[in-house]
Amino acid sequence: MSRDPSWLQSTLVILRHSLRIDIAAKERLITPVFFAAIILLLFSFAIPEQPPEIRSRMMVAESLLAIFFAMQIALSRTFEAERQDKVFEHLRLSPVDSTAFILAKLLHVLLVGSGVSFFTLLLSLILQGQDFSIVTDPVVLGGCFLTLLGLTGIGVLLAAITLRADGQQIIFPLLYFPLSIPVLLCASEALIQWLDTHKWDDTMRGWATMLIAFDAIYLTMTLLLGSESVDTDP
Amino acid sequence: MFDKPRLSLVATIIGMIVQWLLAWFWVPVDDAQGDVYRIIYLHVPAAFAAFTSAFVLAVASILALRSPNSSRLDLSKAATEVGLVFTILTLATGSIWGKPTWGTWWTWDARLTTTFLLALMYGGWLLLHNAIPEGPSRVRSCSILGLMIAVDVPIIYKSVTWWRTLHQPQTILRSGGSTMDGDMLALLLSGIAIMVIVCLSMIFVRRQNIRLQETLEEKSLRGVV
Repeated sequence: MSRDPSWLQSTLVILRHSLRIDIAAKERLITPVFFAAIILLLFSFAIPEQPPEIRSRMMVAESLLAIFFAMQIALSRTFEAERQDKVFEHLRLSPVDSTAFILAKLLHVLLVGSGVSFFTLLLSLILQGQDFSIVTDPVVLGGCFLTLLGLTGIGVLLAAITLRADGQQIIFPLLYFPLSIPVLLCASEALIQWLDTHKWDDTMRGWATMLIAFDAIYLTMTLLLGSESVDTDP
Repeated sequence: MFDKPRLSLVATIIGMIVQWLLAWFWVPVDDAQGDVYRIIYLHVPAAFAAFTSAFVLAVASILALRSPNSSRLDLSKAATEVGLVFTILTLATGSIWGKPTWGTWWTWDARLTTTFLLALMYGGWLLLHNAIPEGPSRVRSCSILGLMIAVDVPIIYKSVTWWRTLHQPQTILRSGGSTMDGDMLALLLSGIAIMVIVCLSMIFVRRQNIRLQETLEEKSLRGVV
């Protein structure tokens, strides 16, 4: 007789399974990366040479924009495989906890998003002619990770609640856009402040605190309520 | 002829008209803005009514989530519809006020943007409600979104403190007391109270309508009507 898997084991199994699907169907990974690259290239072609202080601001703005849209593509497909295979119906019969399922999905999008974000940041540095030391700056990396965490938190929850909606492709971005604005606003203000001054002053602390607060709210809501929305009707 | 919610709605609408007349003829002119500031007696109460709707939506969402097999979202739907109306009213009156004072109908200011986002989310809730078939799934999804809408309200309220904005800072609830003249403040506070009651009455009347509509649809399906 087989034992019921633990909560952590379930999370890891689902995460591994989701990553395998992504690697097998390569377009699921390539599309967000390709989309982010197109946005950055368009920016660099459309906007003429700028002074150095403007270029660092441009880099932050275009990177966040590219990450936002790339994440939107990745998030809108989060539950696609499960929906096609009627996994949610099986979840009712299986011993897998639906919170473990949501956490696995969150970690999965976070991993994919981290890869896309790192590539976006690197490409943006090259196109804006910035110093490569920015990618090793812990504040910049931390800021990008917190942005990603906020976008992923709210995105996974919205993907879960729009799962059974008829026009998911329309409703998801409609809800994702307004709710991700505060995260993007805090992240861009904090990163610009840091790149301009390299000082951890009150303004910087204020934006960083607000970014962490939004991340905490969104992640808590996702972990508390996300499992509610993937449960199927009796 | 009238039940309690309808009676309170009629009474408060009369109160609202009296308050507007007082706002127009009784309170003094503002030194800096002249007569244009009088739109505050519609703009601010409408904003508080939009916030009240979000609060009702949050409470209704928590109650719906606590009974997972419930398939009723009548109170949440009523609160969302009324909330959307008051949010649009807030944006419209703010825009009308903004033109003579700021010189523009619209700017991507933090307070304006977060209020606009509230309108989008109310609209999104109604879209989501229509896009999911009736049942516990719809109740859960819409209730979660309802709670997320409620989270936006404190962000709107604190936006003038958190971000550099064109919108004026808090003038009513602030440390050190209000900066407004006593008569102006008293009329504004009574206006807010009246508009909140109008909002609650509208929500309950609309909820009754939704229930009535559902009952009629059920009866029509069973061939009773």
